Amino acid sequence: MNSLLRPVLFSTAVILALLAGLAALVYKTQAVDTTLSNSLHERLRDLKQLDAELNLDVLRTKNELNKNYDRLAEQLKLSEKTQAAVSHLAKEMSPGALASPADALKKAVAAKADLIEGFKTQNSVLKNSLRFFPTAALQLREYTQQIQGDAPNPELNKLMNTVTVLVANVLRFSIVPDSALNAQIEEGLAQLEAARSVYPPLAEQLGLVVSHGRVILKQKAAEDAILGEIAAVPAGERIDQLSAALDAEFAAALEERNTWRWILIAYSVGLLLLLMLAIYKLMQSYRSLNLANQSLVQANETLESRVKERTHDLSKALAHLKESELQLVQAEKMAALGQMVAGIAHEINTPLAYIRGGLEVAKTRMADVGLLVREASELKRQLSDPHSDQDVLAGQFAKLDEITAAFEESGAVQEMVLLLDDGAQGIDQIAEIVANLRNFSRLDRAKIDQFDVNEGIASTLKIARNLLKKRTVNTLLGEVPRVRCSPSQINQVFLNLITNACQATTEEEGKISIITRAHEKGVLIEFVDNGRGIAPSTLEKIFEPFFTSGKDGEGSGLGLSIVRRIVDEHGGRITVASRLGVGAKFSVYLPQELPAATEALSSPAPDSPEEKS
Amino acid sequence: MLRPFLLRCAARLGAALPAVVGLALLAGSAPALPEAPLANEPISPLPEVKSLNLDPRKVKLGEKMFNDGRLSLDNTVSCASCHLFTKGGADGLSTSVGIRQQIGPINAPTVFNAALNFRQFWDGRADSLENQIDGVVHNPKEFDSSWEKNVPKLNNDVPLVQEFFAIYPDGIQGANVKDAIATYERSLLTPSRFDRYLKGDSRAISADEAKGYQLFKNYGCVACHQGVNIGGNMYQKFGVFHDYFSHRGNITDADMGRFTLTRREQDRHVFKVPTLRNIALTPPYFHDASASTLEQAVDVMFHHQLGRIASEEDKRLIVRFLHSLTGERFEVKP
Repeated sequence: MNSLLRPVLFSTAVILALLAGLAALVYKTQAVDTTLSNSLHERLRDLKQLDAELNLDVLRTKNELNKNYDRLAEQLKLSEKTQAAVSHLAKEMSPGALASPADALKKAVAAKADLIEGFKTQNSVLKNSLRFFPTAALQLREYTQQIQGDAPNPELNKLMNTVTVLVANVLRFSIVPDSALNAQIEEGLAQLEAARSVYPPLAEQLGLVVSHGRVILKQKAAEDAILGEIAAVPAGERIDQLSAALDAEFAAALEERNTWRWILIAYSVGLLLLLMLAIYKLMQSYRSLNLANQSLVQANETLESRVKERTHDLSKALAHLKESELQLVQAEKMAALGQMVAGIAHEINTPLAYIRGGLEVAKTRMADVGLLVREASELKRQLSDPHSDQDVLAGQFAKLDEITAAFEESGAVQEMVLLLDDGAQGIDQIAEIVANLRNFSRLDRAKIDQFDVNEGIASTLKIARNLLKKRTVNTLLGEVPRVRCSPSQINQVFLNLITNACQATTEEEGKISIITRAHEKGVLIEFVDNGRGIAPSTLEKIFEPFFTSGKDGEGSGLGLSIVRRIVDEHGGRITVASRLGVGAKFSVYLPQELPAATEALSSPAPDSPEEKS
Repeated sequence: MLRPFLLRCAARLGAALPAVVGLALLAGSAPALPEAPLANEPISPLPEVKSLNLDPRKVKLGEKMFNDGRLSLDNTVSCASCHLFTKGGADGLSTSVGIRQQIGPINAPTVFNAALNFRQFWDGRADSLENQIDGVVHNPKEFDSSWEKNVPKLNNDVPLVQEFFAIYPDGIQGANVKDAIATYERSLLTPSRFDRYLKGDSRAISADEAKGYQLFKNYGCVACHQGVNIGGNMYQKFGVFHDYFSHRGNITDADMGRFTLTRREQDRHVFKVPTLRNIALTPPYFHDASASTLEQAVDVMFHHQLGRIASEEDKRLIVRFLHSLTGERFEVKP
């Protein structure tokens, strides 16, 4: 999975990067946004107009066409607001290029506003004094005339003339200020000032005239200066400069956009070529995929047929195996049988041997008995014969006495009786074995019958006597119900387990216990031995076919697997427990009733009850 | 002898009757003909508040905030602390008292019609109502606070928050509080009898007041106290003809006027010309509260600003005129 992830991630990253590049280029080539620039141009136009109107308003105010300063104040406020908007727009549009012309404009507008404020301040004072001056002068005349009364005073008259000239000069000065006039007015005022001490009653009025005259001079000069400065403020120029900068910016932006457009075109062509390459590659891979696909389909079909072959082979092999299994089972049976036959033969041989021995000895002794009988008969004849010789008789009697004495000494009769008893016992034994054999042979057929497991165990033990030899066998055969089963098979099971127990134990110390008891509507039979035990690893496989712990050639390994099979078919269970070095216990459970499947398969037992031969 | 006398009386009466009836009619009747508003006057009447198209919700909210102490650090002072309706929109004190009883440096101007001033504060440092509010909120001697401190306090008031959100999409913010208060302040216009006079009602002011207005113009008071707010649209030096401050002595920073901002000699002692509307309601007068009566103030103005001498009668009439500038809502009938 990892190996797939890396190339996928890489290609995704590349694609994203290319797309990002494309997006960036598209963005760069967007139509230059004119909204800001248009707003800014509009604002600049407004500002220019406002600026012009401000100039007009100042003059209007100066000439008293505006009755108060409200309009001027409003215009100033509007102008400042517009300038602020212009600055904001300019900096938003292009902080780099437009910031300094915008700031220059701001400075100019602020300077102008400040000057206009100054103008208002001095204008109000000048206005008042100008208006008052002639009145003041007039009042001075009146007061002067009052003082003069009828007596003309040439000094006073001269003073009045000065005043008259002064008023005229001041009025002229208020319209066209020039320095010569200024000086003259100054002189006139000085004269009036001087006259204050000369004419105390007129001092106050003279003072008024002088102070207002001086204020007029001062404020007029100030006004002219301010008006000059206002005119000099390059507000209009700054507006034009900003406008020009704006246009330059716009042109530059257009230029830039065009350049980017070319780049975009080149880039797009590049992308297109890449795309065509990708498509070509895609088609190639598609073709190769198709081919791969076809070969896959073919391989699939081949596989199918091969699988069919294999399956066929396998089924044949399985059938073979089953046959072999059956054969092996048969062989095992044969082997078991063979074992059994060997055992039986051995068993029979022993009694046969001493029967024969006894009979032979008896036969030998019979010769002696015959001799005795002959001599006795002779005696009898001689005795019966009146003409027998006494000596011959005595001689016959002595012979008979010898023979009978020898007979009694040898204890031949007892001996013979013993031997014949032994012989009879031996025959009994053989008879038993034969009876067992009959039982066993009868059982070679898988016939179903009611079976007493205790009897089965007993007969099996007899058959296995040769195998068991000197081993200790304990049986604890409890009250058990009869079980419906195939007796021959069950006996085979018992024989196999006993055989295994013998193989696991030594003759000297071998101890085998067989316990039967009723259990769960059936019978539980336990075979316990104190043999070498079974290793846990072996324990698992013990019921497997062909598994044997015996050495090569010893045992086919089929025994327990067959045992298992037989028990299973009877609906029973077989388990094994063992401890290495301690022993093993095989537990077989057989139910009273057969499972239905097995019942259906097997043939019924003959009606004849069990007979002992 | 009696008869001709009676006849003569009757004749005189008869002659006088039409005149008497005419006069009675004139006297008894309500304004007979609508008179044209006065033209070319240096003072203009106040605009109608209606014509300003103020958002009534903002006005109401602004009024609330105007009276809200939470704009100050310890919640004890509000705008209304120094701008009381009962004191003509000022506080009647020489100088105002701010947070923690700190005494301010300068006399409080009226909030009435302040929206019409071209700038706020005596030195004109605030160019808008909103900036004036900022100045007060941040002044350690007035509110000693900041919006960073005020806004969280106000945000604890759930009904207030809702009120703000109803009008302003971003709820309680410094800018919105200022906007509400400023809108409220714009609604505080106080039309007076003089405004009615300017609009054409020649009988809105008395003969004395009318004469006073003429004198006000003739003497030149109107040169600075002009426009719709009878002042408030220009700067002027306090002490044109004579030096006011050396005469008064004890110069403080508050006396520097615009010099504090511009640092230019020509701006020393230059102040914003205050409005004369409601002037009768807002003693003491001048930035240093040096005049406690209108008469004193008029004297100072004549001497220092006009350089003129006026008779007591003229001054009295001018003072009468000044009384007619009081908003009719707040007029106290003599």
